[in-house]
Amino acid sequence: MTSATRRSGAAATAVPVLEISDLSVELSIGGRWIQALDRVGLTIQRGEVLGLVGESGSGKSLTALSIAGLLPGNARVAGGSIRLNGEEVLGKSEQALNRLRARSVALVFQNPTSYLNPVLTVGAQIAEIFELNPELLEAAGGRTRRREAWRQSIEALRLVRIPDPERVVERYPFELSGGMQQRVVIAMALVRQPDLVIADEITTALDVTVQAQILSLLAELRRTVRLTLLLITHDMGIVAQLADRVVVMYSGSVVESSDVRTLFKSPRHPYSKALLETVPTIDGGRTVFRPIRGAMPALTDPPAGCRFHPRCPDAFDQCSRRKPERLALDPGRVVACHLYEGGAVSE
Amino acid sequence: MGLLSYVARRLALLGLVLLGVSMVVFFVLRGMPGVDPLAAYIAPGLPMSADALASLRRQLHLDEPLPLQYVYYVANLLKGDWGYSRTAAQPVLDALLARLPATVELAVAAVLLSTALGIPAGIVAALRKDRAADVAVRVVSITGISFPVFWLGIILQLVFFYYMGQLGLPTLPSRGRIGDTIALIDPITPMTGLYLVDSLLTGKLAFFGSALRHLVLPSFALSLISLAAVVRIMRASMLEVLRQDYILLARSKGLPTRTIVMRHALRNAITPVLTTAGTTLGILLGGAVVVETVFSWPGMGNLAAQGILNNDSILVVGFTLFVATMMVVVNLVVDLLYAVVDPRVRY
Repeated sequence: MTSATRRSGAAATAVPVLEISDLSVELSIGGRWIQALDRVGLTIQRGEVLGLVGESGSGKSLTALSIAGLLPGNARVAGGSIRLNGEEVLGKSEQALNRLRARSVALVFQNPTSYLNPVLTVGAQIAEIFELNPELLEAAGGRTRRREAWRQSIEALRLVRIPDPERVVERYPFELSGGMQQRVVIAMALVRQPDLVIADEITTALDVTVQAQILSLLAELRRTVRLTLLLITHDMGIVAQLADRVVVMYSGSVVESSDVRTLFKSPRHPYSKALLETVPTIDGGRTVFRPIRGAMPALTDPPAGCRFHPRCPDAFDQCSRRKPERLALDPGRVVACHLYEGGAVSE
Repeated sequence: MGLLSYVARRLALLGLVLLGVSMVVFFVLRGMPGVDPLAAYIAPGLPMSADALASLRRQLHLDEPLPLQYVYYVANLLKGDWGYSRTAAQPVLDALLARLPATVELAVAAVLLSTALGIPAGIVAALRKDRAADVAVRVVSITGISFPVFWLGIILQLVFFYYMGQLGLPTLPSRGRIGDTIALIDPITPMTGLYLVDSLLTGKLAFFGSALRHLVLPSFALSLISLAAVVRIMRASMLEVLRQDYILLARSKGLPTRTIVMRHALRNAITPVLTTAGTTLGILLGGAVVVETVFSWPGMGNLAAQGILNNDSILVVGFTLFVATMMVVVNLVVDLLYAVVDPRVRY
């Protein structure tokens, strides 16, 4: 088990915040167990933003949920390991997982409107995090714990740039706009000073202008609170804006991982190339979209060999026969593609 | 739209409902072939001359066409004159009001009992979906609703009064609202007419105890009518809520299951149960006829049952109107309660 990522960075000596290796997850669909994640690996160092990209259904969200031990009832881990600060997450008891979720890993989800409880005030939903982490309230001074939790909840809202936090804290979610709601969820994540924040398509449900505001908030928080972020998105533009490194997933597998600059300059995997071309460019005054032709295969009936080969412009006979191995091409770059098998050392 | 105008609109609607109900009941009862409405006004067996009958008939407008009789009836209703009940030997409205507290006490106790048992049972069934506890709860609640109430009442009397008495075990009273002795030795001054409330207010604990013991069997028998509905709706509603995104976010905070269910799920899941409980209370206020008869409970239903047997149409029409009014009022109260449970509801 091994991961290319371990060789990849200069920071390889430090214990990574998150290290996933060979994670396989199966889903029960119609009474059959279907492989949904196939030996996924990725690593995040402290203070790093890792972009996890791929189309819907590529397994990004399943990866995220696995980290927090929140896989749905019809999913099971079939193998691999997830280490958080060097400690194995898989196989932990529900109680231990609750401890982990309460303090170490925080999730922010796609649609804030459906992820906030409609009948509890914003403040109640933030302050309850302190019930699980009383140590965060130590500097209470003369205040009671309740009041201190409330005060810190207001501070958290201020941190995510919510105007008039003293009033918003008393509001119910439905009284806020989508952008404000997402800021509230981000505040919930930050308030426990987590080791890792997982942001799963957090701007997808928002208006374009609000998306931009949320993204600039994240960029700011990176500097101010030194966020360690797993940024899940299908939008290469967001990756370019925020991520240090990027992992590209397709149909349950990692097809390429690299630092952002290198990937954008010279993508190797045909799927990465295609993804980058989906970012619209302005060409001679005309906006050009290049969609990826075809659709992702159904998990229930995946193609043989490389799962991308039916859509791949560079596919040759090897591709439909054998699953490509992961190859470490240059330092810090791993690609799973038959095109490069001649020129690189297989892992 | 303010709360007051909402209530005003609903009360106006109440007027329309009552007009409809009174029409239906009046025409059905008065239009029944072979029954002379005059019979309701004269004591059976009392000899009266043809002249006296004719003049009474004129006096009561019973010689007029039916629609006109209805107009007279409604005019009297509005004046507070609901007619005279032969069965109760007092005016209908007085007779109903005198027996109202007994019925309210019984119906409220039954609804409280069915929610107190049904809500936890429904929650347990939802959390243990398709496992032994769930199946047990469902079987018991379905069996409960399948017993005819009068039969169940008799069985309860047999077991808890007769058989346990035979065995020298402590028994529960099988008829009436209060022990005969205590009502004689240490009576209470009626204030609300609700024995439990009045005896507590006046500090007569022995009276309270007796009243409570008398309430156990009839309220339990009555509660079974709504228990199954409460359990099923609570279970379905809880399952639905537990699938919501905000529950996943709550779990991702590391909250223990107990907190998630009690704080995050219950308030969202309880609204349909509230509706059921409200509707049931309305039904029980009018539908306690059978249970009140079985347990000789001195309430409105008991009186109405006698009225039906006596062909006392004036009483039966009055009873029906009365019950319809309570039903609409209870539903209004339930609708107003939504706003307490769910902040999104505004009137």
